[in-house]
Amino acid sequence: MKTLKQTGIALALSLAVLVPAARAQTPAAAPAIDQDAIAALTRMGTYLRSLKAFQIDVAITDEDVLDDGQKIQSETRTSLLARMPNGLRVERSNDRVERLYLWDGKNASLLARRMNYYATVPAPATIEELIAVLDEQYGIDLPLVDLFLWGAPKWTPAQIKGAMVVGPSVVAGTTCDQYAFRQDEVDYQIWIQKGDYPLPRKIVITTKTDEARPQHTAVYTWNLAPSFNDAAFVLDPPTGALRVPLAKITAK
Amino acid sequence: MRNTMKHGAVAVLVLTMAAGLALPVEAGKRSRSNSSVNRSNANRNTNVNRNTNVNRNRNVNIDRDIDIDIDVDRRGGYHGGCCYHPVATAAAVTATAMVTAAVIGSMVNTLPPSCSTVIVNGFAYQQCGNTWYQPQLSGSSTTFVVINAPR
Repeated sequence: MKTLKQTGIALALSLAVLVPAARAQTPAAAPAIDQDAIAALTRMGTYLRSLKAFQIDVAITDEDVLDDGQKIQSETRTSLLARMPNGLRVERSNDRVERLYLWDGKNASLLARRMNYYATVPAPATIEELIAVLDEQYGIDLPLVDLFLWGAPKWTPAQIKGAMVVGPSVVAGTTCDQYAFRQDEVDYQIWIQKGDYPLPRKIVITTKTDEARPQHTAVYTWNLAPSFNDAAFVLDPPTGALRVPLAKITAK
Repeated sequence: MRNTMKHGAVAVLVLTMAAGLALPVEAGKRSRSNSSVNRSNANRNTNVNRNTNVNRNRNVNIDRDIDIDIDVDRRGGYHGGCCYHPVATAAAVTATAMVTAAVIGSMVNTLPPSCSTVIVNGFAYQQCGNTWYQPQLSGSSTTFVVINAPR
């Protein structure tokens, strides 16, 4: 009996050692994906795509990583007005630049306020194409592009490798649910407003491709009933503003 | 004329600040926090050091880029920013004076002192002595390309 019991314990112990080892070797060891988190992200995207117009003020904190690994933080204030499907006005300012980006479905303009230079180029008719063209042809990171990509026809949760429901969390007085996701190159946390208006209220993106793990944090303040007219999306150059080209990144 | 004075003022500021402030921030920047989780990165790995965006792999090394191409245009560098950031201006002007003055096609982040604005075919150019610059806007900064006299 005693022997049996000892054998049983020994067996249990060896199993306890073997089981995790076996699990670690199977492909099933991938991070867990909580479908509730995926569903929340999907619902948020669907809701964002249902908006006809919105205006947001965003407080953004970014980190640069210097060659020796030291991190330097910077803040950018961004204000964005969107008229779907073809109007965008983005004002962005930080210690180094004050820029205005405009798009009306025909032209895209960029005004560098401190230099008082502006550039206008023909632009695509959809915001997804605009985002791609500005990035790939001109090297311009349009701010807040995720707000237009979540819920878009091409969006898919396929790149999400881990998904977790963290739980309720208050952002600037608004009760949200906090979620955490993992992708190959970034981890991110997103706070989605509870209730019938599932808006992103905050996002933290951790870049994993640099061991210093720089973080981008954005806190959004939403206005779902902005007032504007068509002129809001067309550049009216300020007095003395000078027109210059927009540099293409392929130009040599 | 207004521009001439403005650039002159910047240059003076630069001279007074260069010694104390330029060095620390001249350190190279190797990456920046990604600002998007949705831009696909599948086909953009052109550079090892980049990471400004999940999807974009931008090279932000400051002091290695002599090309007038993607690296220069895309970085938001510490002395690559536009405008009147005093430290940025200090570094850029120093570089301008020493190296790039008249090489056609070269690019600087800040103009030398005493330039005047000339408009040709609706676009602005800067004439600084015998050297002509074409200002251009790029991803995160304003840069100036040395060109032949426009006509």
